[in-house]
Amino acid sequence: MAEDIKNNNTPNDKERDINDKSPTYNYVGDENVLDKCQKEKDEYLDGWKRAKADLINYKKDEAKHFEIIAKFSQEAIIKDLIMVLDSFDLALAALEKENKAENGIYLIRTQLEDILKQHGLERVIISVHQPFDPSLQEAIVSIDSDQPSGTVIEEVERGYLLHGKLVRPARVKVIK
Amino acid sequence: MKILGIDLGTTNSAMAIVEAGEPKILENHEGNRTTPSVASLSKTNERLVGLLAKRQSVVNPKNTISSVKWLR
Repeated sequence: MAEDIKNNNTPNDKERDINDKSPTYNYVGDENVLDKCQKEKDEYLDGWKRAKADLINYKKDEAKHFEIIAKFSQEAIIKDLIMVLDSFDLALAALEKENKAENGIYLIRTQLEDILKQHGLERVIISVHQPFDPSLQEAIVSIDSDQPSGTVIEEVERGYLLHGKLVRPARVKVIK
Repeated sequence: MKILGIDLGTTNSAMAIVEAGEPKILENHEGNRTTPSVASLSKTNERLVGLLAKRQSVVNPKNTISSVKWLR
């Protein structure tokens, strides 16, 4: 283009491709053309840089997103299986009262828990008489007691973490 | 320039940005697309919002605010 300007050798409209939508300039006697080109160049370069940065950020976000999807793709089924573990616990508690609990049932429950552990499930450990922690626990009832206020008195339902993320808080009774 | 849209709802709140021309709801720290509209001052004077505030609402109802639109 610089050579064309120098030699005033611009292609006329007939020579231009009819599909070419780029702007046409009358280089002769127009002193603002270079400024206009410079501004357009800066604008396009700025736009290109923004688009490039957006693409890089998008790629990073997508990589993180895929990593999370891969890690937590089984979250829904694991949450459902946690309910099966709860049912085992309720059944075992009832059978223990009647001294009918069989070793086989304990083994099946342990087997299920071990499989879930292999997939990243971890139990939230609750210590009775420790301060209530809303990041891992959910208070379902507050009760009067002579114990220190704001401490956990009983775990009603177990809580679980999946790859360190809380999928179900431990439901607890807390002292008023 | 990124624009953040916030929906402060009575029960839940959500935030969204526009990405590639499409609105995208942002997930919170717990990975949920909505956050309970609950705020609380815990017994240890900690400021809690969202799920954490909701989880302790039973034991700290006096210092927990929820359903703000319906407060009278």
